[in-house]
Amino acid sequence: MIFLKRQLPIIIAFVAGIMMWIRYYIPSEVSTNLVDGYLEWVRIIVGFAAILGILSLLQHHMLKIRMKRPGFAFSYVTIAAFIMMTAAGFLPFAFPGFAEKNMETGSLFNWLYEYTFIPMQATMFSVLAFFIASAAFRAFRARSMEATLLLVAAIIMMVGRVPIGDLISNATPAFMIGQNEYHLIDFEEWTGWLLNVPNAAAKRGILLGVYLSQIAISIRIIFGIERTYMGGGD
Amino acid sequence: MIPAGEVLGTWIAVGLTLMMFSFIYKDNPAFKFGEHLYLGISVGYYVNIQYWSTIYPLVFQAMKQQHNYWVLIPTILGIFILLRIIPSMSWLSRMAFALYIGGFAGYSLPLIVHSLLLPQLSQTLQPYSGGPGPVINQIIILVAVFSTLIYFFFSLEHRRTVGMISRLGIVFIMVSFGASFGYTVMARISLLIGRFQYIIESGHIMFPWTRS
Amino acid sequence: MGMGKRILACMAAVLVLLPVHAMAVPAPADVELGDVANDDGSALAVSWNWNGTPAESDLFSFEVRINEQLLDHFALTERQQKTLTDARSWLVGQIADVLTQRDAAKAEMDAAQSALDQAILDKEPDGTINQKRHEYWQKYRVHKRLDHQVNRLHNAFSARTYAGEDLRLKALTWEFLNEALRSGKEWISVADPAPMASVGTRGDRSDLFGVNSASRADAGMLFYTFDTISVPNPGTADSSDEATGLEQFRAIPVRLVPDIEYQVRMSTFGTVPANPMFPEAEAGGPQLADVVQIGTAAPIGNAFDKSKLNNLIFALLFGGIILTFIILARRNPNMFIRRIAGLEAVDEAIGRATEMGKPVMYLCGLQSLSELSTLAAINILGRVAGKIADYESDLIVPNRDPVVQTVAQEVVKEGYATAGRPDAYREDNIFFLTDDQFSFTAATCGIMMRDKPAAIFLMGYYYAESLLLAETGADTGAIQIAGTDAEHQLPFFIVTCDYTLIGEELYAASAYLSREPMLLGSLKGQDIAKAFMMAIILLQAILFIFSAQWDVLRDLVTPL
Repeated sequence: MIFLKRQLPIIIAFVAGIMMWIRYYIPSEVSTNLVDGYLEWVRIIVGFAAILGILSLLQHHMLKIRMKRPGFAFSYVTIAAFIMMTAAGFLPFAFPGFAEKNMETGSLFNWLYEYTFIPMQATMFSVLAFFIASAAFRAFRARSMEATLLLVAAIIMMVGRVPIGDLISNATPAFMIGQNEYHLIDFEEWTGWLLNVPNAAAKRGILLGVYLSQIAISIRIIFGIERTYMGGGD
Repeated sequence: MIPAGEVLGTWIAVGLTLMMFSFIYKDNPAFKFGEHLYLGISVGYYVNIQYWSTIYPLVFQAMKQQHNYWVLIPTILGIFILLRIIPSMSWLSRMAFALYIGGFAGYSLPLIVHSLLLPQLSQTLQPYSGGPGPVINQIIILVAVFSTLIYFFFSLEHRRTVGMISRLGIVFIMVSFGASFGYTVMARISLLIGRFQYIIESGHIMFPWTRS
Repeated sequence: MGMGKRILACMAAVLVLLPVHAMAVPAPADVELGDVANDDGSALAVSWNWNGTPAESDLFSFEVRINEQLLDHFALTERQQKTLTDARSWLVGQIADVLTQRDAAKAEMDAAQSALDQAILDKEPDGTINQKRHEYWQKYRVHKRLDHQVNRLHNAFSARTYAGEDLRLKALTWEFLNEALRSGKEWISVADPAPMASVGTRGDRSDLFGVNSASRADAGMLFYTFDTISVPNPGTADSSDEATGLEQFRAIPVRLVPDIEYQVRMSTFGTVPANPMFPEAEAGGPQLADVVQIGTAAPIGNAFDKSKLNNLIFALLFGGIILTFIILARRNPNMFIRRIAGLEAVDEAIGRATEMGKPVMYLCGLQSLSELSTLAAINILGRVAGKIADYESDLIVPNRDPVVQTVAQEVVKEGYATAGRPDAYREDNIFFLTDDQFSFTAATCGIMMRDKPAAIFLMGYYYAESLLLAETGADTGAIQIAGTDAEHQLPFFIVTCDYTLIGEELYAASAYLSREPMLLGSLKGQDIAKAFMMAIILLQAILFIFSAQWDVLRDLVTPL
């Protein structure tokens, strides 16, 4: 029993990991089918896990209602919306007033998707504009060298990406070096330089470290050193 | 003639848009309603997508039409995850996690090397050419990559020389973050403008008589 | 008719014929047929130069001579054969008369059209011309009706063979109807006539270790690789074509067999320009211009993809270094690790939550468990949960992925058990919200605003919502510790959170918090690997000082 509970999962992880790794270097139909099949299997496994998620959400809201926790009335909204959307997609007939059933165009499901899901999603995304402004304000108040550097780079970038940046640049005195004309202040030039030189280079430094960590964690998983994800217990 | 469903839908959509916008001000019942509705709708959507685009075609159809019974293995593993509800059977879910995580580790390892690590490394290695400007830039890139990598050394104490170099690394990292921040601002503003445009344009659908 | 008029008519005839012959398709030159390097022997590649400048509208196709292996592929079972033969003989019986009638009608229509043209050229009186035009339209309608009848019979034929949803038979039915379109049964096309712009370039790989394909001398050559025979062979139905009622087929690749000779030829097609005399007549339409015999070749199979050799070397090297240091760490468990400010603050944050009697919120990011940063976040969660149990605070973990949620429950339960407080663990606090990015964000922000957690951990991978989460958290006054390797979101965390783990620090965190020798060893191995990369960068930089041609090390790390 201890073998089934402890060793077997590690063996499965090892065999699956090594197979998926090695197959990358082997050009063959079997190798392609292996990875396609594996990805499909994972989708199925995750698909079943979704049931667990839904149960968790429903349980969370039911509990809220039963315990009459603050704002429990809104839990009814969630549960009702969930039931409506699920029923719209699953019931095998067209709802009154709608031409189609299930998820087809012209169905209740589609209507709900288009007039509730999409606008709320787009709104939450667009709200980011306000948040980025307040984040910038937060950066203004910070008094460290790092924060100042960040802010200066951000301001140059922002000004360089709007028409006013061009106006400022053109208003500054110009001078010639060789064949090229340069402006004393040239936001367009500066933003390009910021993006392509320090930004690209620092990102590269960060990412190289990240990729090494990812290689390390993959190796640890394959060789059974990393097994937090299997949970503890026996 | 605009269909009634579209007029009604647009009213609802614009109403929900305003409810979600009220989040900027502070938490309020309108936002709470919108948030909870959005949650329910999105989970309902998720259930449908999971079933109709995964379970139904990959399990039911695969078995019924293509007689592919291999899908029983991931199905059983999926059921193992569900068995977590029963504490004495919860260890079975480890088999599914082992296959999922172990397989993905092996799957992503060579891909990380191929499409992430090596390209970043080879892009750093550029010859010095193209006049004084590009050569200076190339040197700055080398210094920045170097000092950033030093910053991420964990087994070295960041004092004296190492400390100074890693400090330089932080300077580059902060300039990079600033550039990234500034670059994103405009994109976010245009999203907001797009949303306002939607509300304005919806007026013609909400009040059909205003359409010329 | 006078002499002048006759010359004019001749010229008109020449004008009609001229464009057809004036198709300016450039001939392909330096055509080479060869094996595709580093594959399993299922593909051949053709490369060529266009001799001249081809137009966008010029088309070409490749054809392979049918051999035993391909014949096998198209072989039918007895039942399929019978269905197809029955349907075929039914069609032949039905269609023969109609076809004859249609051909006759077409001849009559063409004659009427010539008569009409002649009348116009001869400048005959309007009445005559109108009458001839009327005659032409009548013939046209008769022909059209018969043509329609032929189409209907074709569709009925399809319906007979389509019965039983036999995709293979469906495809062959389609094939049968299109037989006439192909040049001959002996050859099958491997590429539908494709416009110039869509030439594939998969064939430009090199089997030389470390050599950049861009530096190859044959830049400018066009490549086409085929490992599929894209005649509508037994494939899967894609969509139905409303106009004909026939379904279109997405071809399933017919893979070539290694070590068997395939004979290949190439056909080029030019477009017929619009005819100035008959602007309403059909223009365009590919016309065969040239057939080039390319030759024969046998694809060669490889057991190992040599172009991925440097990948294997680096993966093994880095993997080996990390494993070695993990083993070394078991012997010498006391390894140094530098201070990570964000992690020093973990105790402070949790302590504050306890003091205030408020919960701690922990997010594992927006990605699934297959993303390695999510795993890193889960690992940190395990450590943090233990501390939270120690401090007797509440822990809330909203999730976007049900698998992550399940694993998070396991990990937290384990953390509480290790801390000796299994009774304090509440499964209901680690819950699933939704899969949708912004719905998850809205709901999580809602929880932040209502439950006012005293400490918020934002670990794992984030997208644009990072700012919404972090700003809302900051507004509630919580201590926020973020950690991500999503490079685009790091600036927002830096600005809005009290502490941010940047990139690799996220992965180092579990080693830092647990001081587990094996994890510390892995971290040490990563440092050595980093030093190795720095050595490559430095050496190559020095080599470049002497010559831009000395690029051995760059070639070594360039993925092929």
